[in-house]
Amino acid sequence: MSAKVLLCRCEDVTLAEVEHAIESGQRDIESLKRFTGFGTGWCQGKQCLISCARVLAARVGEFPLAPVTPRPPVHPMPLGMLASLGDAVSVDRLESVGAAGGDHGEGEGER
Amino acid sequence: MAPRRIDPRSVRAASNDPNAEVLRALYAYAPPDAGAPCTIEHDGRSIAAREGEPVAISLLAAGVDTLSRSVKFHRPRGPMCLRGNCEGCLVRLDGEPNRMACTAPSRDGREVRSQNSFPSAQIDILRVTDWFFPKQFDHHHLMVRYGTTINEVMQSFARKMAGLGTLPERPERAPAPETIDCDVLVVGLGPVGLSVATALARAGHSVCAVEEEPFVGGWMRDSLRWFDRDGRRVCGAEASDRDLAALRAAGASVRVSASACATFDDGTIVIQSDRALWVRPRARVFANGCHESVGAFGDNDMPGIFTARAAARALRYGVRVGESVLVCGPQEDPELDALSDALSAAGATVHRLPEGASLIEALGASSVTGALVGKGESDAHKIKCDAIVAPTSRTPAFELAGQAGVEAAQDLDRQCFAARGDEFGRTQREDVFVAGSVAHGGRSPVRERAIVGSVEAWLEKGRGR
Repeated sequence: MSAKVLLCRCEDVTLAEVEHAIESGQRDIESLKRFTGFGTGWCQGKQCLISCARVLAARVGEFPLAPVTPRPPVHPMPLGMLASLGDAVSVDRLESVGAAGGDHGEGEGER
Repeated sequence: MAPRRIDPRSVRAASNDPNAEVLRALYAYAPPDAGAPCTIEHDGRSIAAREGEPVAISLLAAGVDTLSRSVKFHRPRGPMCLRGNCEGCLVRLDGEPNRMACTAPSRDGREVRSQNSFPSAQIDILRVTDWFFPKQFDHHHLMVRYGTTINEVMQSFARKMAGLGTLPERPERAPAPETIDCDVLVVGLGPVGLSVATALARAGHSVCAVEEEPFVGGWMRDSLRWFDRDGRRVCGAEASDRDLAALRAAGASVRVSASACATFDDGTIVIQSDRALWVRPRARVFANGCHESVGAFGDNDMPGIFTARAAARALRYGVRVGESVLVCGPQEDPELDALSDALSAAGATVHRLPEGASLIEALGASSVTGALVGKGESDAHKIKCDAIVAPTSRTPAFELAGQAGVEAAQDLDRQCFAARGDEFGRTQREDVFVAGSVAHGGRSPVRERAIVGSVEAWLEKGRGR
């Protein structure tokens, strides 16, 4: 049996899958993430974002201008602990997130 | 599988082996057998462990390579990073799902269970998924062509199989969070974070310094090279402890096992062990370093594949990752050279990747038994080994700074993203600063002083208002 090259371990996304996705038109990093699900698992992209961005760069000829939006939490936390923050952290505070990176899936470089 | 504990006496006895020098200094400073012997249970089997060492290290030492199964293909997985960044060691621990065995300490009676596998992570019949989908698992087109009924059956099956672990037996209760108001929050206590936090605390600012690992020092703690402290050569562990003592003496509030999880305009959420902290600083310094990812080669997720730092960390706890270890990565890399020397001193046979050759594929059915290496397909040859220190990319951990509003800029030379800061650590947000490799800055006292100066200037400006 042939070996698999895992680009995203958490979500079991292989090199073949990423290449297939690029061929089928997912030619920016946000679309590629949405199509394959890389970076949506336990590590939230700590391992795979760079590997996928490099494969994308090799295929489409340029490295992505910005990464996918780094959403909280960047580190897994139990829901009970998140709930415990309810009194200390109000919702309107949490809405004032200083978001950086290509947001809203509009492709690279959009702000 | 042979047990992999190192006898520290044999390392001490090799006093005329220059390769063993740093390891000997490390074991003299922090004996790996200092923890009391204890017994943990893994899927019903008793495992001899040492109190305080990470559960994943105890299991590795006992020859247990496979701790979990991957989410779709049910491929065997084991600890790879040993620093809480990957999914390889996720287990059910004392009835709690999804605990990273590399971050939880062993103590008598701890119960480790595999999850997401049947009947166990060692033998998981769901591995057939891996063979059924030889290239990829395309969930967009899965079974679509066989009609809606089959598709619905598959969907419901897939939903049942999805997710990690099962709910805990008891509902979680987290203690009330602690709110911390301070002048500066420093995230990440590697060499740069330690230095910047200490300087700021010495200047009289209230500093809250958080580190996600249970100890400070970052890569320096695990490094098998010498460091200079007070005119003396010391091992990385001792250098880290000395820096920590200096930080504490300067009056900073130091939190270890404290992960900054999310950053908002008004504050940063940090989880420290089982409690949440809501930190509201006037300035934030991100010194949280790099992520490490293993390169793209065949079966690069197999148990027995480690980052260099993980292999060095295992040695620190008195465990070698294998009897015969293939060390990949650039020739004449000082960290890799030091690691190779220490592995040899610890009794392992070390193979380095020949000049110009690369690792093509890891070989083995469920854990590493060899590697296919070469300059190309025609030149490929097999090396017998039971562990691989994989080629690794270190790339800036820009995510937290990104949430705080700092741009993650592309770095075309290194093909990665880095938090954008100037040589004074300043970013587009005047209250947010970046230090060290998170922004591709190296370790330099001049630069660290400049960053401290920028933070102080901002704090001063804020006071004048």
